[in-house]
Amino acid sequence: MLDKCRELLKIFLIFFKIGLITFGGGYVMISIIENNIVEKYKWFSQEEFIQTITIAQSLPGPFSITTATFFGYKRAGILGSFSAVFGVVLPSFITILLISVFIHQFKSFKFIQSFLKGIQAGVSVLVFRAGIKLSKNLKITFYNIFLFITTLVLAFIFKVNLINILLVFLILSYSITIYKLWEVPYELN
Amino acid sequence: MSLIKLLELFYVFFKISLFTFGGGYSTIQLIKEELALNNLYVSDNSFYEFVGISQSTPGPFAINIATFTGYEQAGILGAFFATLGVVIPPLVIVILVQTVMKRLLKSKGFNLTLIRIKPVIIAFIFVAGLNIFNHVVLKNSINILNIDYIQFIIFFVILILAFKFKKLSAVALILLSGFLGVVIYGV
Repeated sequence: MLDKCRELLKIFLIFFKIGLITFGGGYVMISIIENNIVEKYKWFSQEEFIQTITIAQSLPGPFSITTATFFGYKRAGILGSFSAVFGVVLPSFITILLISVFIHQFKSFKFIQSFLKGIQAGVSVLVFRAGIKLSKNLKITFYNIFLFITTLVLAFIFKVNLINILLVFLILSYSITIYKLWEVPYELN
Repeated sequence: MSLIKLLELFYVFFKISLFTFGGGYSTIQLIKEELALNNLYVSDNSFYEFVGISQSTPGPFAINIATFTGYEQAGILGAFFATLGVVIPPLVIVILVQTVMKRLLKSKGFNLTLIRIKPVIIAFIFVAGLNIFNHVVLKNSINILNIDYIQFIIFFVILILAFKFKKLSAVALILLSGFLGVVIYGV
């Protein structure tokens, strides 16, 4: 019982640390997690780690949360996943809460106003850069280009709701997948 | 603080989390749309500012944005409920997958579908970028005379820096754009 508590606390602390030193979201996190739970604590083998990351990426929900849940669960069951998620969320929850509380007071300074205006102009560059980085992993096929452009036009020009777009394309992708699996069962299995 | 508002925040972020694949920037536009649809109003300026700020604070983007919006809407409890909304779906899904749906992960249909949907997720990121640019620099108008030249200059300088020096981190770029803002708009 005491051992179990100690284990849970340790999971919490490790993921708290991971949440604290991760800046800029999910993918930076991969190397930090690996550093800790594979190299330092040797909880998982490299192979197990990569397998888990791949699965976590494909499930719905923010990548960081799915990853924390997975590793927490594998280490100590359901309670383990709770401690991992709680640990990874807490640092940003506290930081953002503090920022949110004070930002309105800060905004009365001209200095901060100018700083925030500058940030507004720079943000889109970061977003485009992330998009370009991810698209480099895509194969250039007719289907991929079609999906990309259709989504861009529907969402940006016609302002179609993103969840509707996602649902339609999920159904389309699933149908194509099923059709192809049925058509060439031997190649894939 | 009404309970309905808190439940609304929980519901909106629950839904957003459920439709998040991969996370990060692909959720910006999704979050903005869902907030507007549910009458949870955050001004465009503070929303985009916050996207920038959250790049220079620790933690996953989705959690940051939920905490921020929740607090703006309904104080500390709001922040708590919105964050809870983001956390619950992946928590439940992963536990289900590990316990009762182990076969799902091995199913080719499931995995291939998720690979095939990737261009859509990447397009979502570009849509967010275009919308931010449109709002901040073009001031949401097609008239070229309405361009905010100062914002355009900052955008352009950061763009050049970002692609010239690929090693520059997001934090560095955000601090640089803030610094440029201070230099141009004054203290």
